[in-house]
Amino acid sequence: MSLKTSYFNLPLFKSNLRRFWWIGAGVLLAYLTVALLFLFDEDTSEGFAVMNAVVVGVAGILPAILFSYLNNSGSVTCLHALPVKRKAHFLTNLATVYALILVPAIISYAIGFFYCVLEMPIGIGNLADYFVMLIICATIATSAGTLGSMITGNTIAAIFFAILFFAFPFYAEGVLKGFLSTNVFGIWDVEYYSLDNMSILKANPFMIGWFIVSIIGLIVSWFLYKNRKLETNGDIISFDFLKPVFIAAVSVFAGLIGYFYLNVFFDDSIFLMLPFGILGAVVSYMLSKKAFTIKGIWKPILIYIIFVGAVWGTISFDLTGFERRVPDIADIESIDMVDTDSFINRYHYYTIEGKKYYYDMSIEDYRYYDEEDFKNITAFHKQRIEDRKSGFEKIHIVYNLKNGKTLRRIYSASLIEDREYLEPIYKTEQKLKINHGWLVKEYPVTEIVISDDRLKNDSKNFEILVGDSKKAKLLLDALKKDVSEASYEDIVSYRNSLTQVQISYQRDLIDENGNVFIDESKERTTYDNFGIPKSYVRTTALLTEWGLFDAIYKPNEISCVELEFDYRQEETVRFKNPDEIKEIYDFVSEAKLIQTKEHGYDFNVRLIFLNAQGKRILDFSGSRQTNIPVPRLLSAEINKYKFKYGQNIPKGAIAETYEIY
Amino acid sequence: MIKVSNVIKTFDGFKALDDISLQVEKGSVYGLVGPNGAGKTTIIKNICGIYTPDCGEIKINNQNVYENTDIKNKIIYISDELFFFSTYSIKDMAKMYSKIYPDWSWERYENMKEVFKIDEKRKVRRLSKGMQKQVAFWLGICTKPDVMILDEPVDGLDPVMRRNVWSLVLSDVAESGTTVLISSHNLRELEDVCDHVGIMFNGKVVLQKSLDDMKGNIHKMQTAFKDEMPQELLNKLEILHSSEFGSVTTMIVKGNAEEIKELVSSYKPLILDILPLTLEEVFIYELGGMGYEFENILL
Repeated sequence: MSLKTSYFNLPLFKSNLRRFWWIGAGVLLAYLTVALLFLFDEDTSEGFAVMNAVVVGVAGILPAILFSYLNNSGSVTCLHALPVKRKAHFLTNLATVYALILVPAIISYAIGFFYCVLEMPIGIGNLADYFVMLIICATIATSAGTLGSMITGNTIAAIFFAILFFAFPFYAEGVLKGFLSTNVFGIWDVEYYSLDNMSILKANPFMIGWFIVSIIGLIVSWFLYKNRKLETNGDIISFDFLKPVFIAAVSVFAGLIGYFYLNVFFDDSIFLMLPFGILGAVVSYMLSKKAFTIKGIWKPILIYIIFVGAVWGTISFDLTGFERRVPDIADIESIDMVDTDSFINRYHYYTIEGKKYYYDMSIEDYRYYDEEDFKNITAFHKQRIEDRKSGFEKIHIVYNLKNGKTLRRIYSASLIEDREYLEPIYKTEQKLKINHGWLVKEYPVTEIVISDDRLKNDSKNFEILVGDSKKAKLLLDALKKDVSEASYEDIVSYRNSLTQVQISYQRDLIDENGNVFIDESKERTTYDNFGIPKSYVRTTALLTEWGLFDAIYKPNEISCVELEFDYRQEETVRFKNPDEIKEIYDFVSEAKLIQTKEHGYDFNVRLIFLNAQGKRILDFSGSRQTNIPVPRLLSAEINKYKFKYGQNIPKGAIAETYEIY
Repeated sequence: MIKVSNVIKTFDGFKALDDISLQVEKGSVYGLVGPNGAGKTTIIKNICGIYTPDCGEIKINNQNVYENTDIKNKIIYISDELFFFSTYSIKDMAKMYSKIYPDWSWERYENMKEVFKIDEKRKVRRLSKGMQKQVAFWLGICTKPDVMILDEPVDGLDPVMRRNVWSLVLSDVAESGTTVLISSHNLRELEDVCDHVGIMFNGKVVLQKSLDDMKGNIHKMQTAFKDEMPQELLNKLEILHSSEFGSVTTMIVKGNAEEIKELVSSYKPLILDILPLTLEEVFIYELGGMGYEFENILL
């Protein structure tokens, strides 16, 4: 028998193409639509990302369609009675998936190449990168789809499994991290890998890793096909050895979903995993048995209950020692300790043409190396573990140990209540650099704006023009001095701020190897936004001299404040009492100036300030927040509204908190 | 030659095939009969290499069938559950088969047009079930198989087409020495075409014999004596069943017809008549005492 006959069957391949050509035609149409974008749009990357999305969708579902003959007694009998080996069936179907995706892609990329020849914006290098990424995306989705088709004898289940396998790593990581961050004290909960990697058009290590996993997935799929019993058509799980895995996986993830759902209604407990998990166990057991049977169902239920009990015991008694682990000072090489905002600034990156670029800040610039700092940080760490209190500020601690390992923890803390531990850490050079990146180097400042939303219309964008170098220099010098002398209160809170300033400046973008991104046309401006407290006397004096505080609306210029809920004008509440207006004005001024950390969207409120003529002069929209106490009179109206519309008020809530922006 | 040795196949703990052994000689037509759920289709799918047995061995021409394309090239299986690709006409299917089966004969294909009289351009999926079965035969015969495995082959065919199909099968057997295994729950259908018959029940082959052996060893005898039938004679006969109508006794008796006739004649009966049995009567009386549900195979 020839190798060709053994591994590939041309008649079946032709038959596949003949039956499913329309899918390839659809892909081609989608690709050509993208290709047309080349003509009109310089930035074609979005179009290619759409292309990848099409590829992922088609490549994920095609295997389920092509292998659907396995799920029907008649078709599987007839096709496997033919003198065609299983490996030829398998590889022929796989070849069909790639043919239906790649032929349209090659046509489209050929058009893209033609544009390159015509010196259109897209470069040949980019085109090659995009094509590699397309192959990677196609393979990942094909692998997920094929694996899904192999483990089940049901086409709907095959599509479901394809989606599940594709999304599983992202879903599993998200759900597990969500669960652990709720239950394990101090767990590191940074942003996890996301599907966004698919939209990056140049293969990164993460995607290459997934590509390798997907190849393994295809090999596993082949072994499953080779050993599949063809009488399992119609079964949800076609392999006996996978049935317990299926039941366990469904139980655990149904339990986790149920946990998050029930958490909304009940006090947090790991045992909230039980109801949905048991339901998952029952459903998956019946599916695996293909019958509404309860015979023997107690086994998976009991195993699941024991599992949940084990999780509860492990976490409650910290059996792994995770929560109590604080490294010895002698073992520490260095420490990164940042709060939420700093964390975002330091690890944030931009993706330009498939590559990640960071601002040129070096982690070493902000790292703690001093033993005294180690003592202060470990003291804070130990205090957190001992008190297990929470606060509004999220503090990230990364211990870089001498043995090369890294220990990461996150705790929340109150900047006021935990001052004793935080002050020595916050009043350091590192913290100053983190809060005011523009101070680190002599970056070219492009703009200084007083970003105070209370400014009168004709004074909006109160700019200190950089072109007016004298004014700009005066302000920057004043700010530098004031910032360097700032008290702990001024570092941790802007509540006593008089106004807010935003300094825009240009920083170099560097890639992971330290190479500077040199395309001047690309935006490399960043900014620091911070409040000006009364203690910044030099800055305040300058701003007063330049008339800023006359350009801000005062409470006595406001005759009415309207409070709207969820943009429902019919629910508007009006405050006309000058004392009430003053209270709301102060709240908005204060809230606006506070650097808010988290955004939770419960429902929206809107405050509209009217002048004596009834004209809107200020307009603030807001949503429920966690860190700013709302004035009693606003809170009362908000609670009335929430009660009326049946919204859930947290148990034991003393005061609702809202952000106004 | 098909040789099945001690095959066991279970589905979710249910033994669909329970230590089955059977042998179909080259050039013979073997009928596999049994009620629904007896395991006929399961053993056939194992023989065709679609299912794999849990244990035991299946060989065709002394080679394992599973994943053996050399052997499968020589087998044609006409399933009870037919499947054709959507959008494919008969001609399209023929083209595909011609590229898959190395011995495909276009000459036969053309000849068969006269037999089946179906427009080859018609989409197979749009044909009636009976016509689809004809197409399956049409295509199957053109592969020039050494072994034909037919699962309920004439279900859905009209009487004329049944006769045509059987005629085609038998002429293939006569001309090419094709080995044929036919599964059916209808004994009457098989009586005319099979030379060997096996009966399946509850996953076992409970009986398999050549048709001649089976029919030559069991007879219906009608007799009457002046008085009662002598007890001595009754003791000498192997009687499977007996009934009386007036003075006439009808018995199903095992043994050689001539010997029975000679023995009974020696007791001077008033009437003695020995009649042949149909295949279904043979099965009823051979196995009737075993409690099997033969009404299912005697439609």
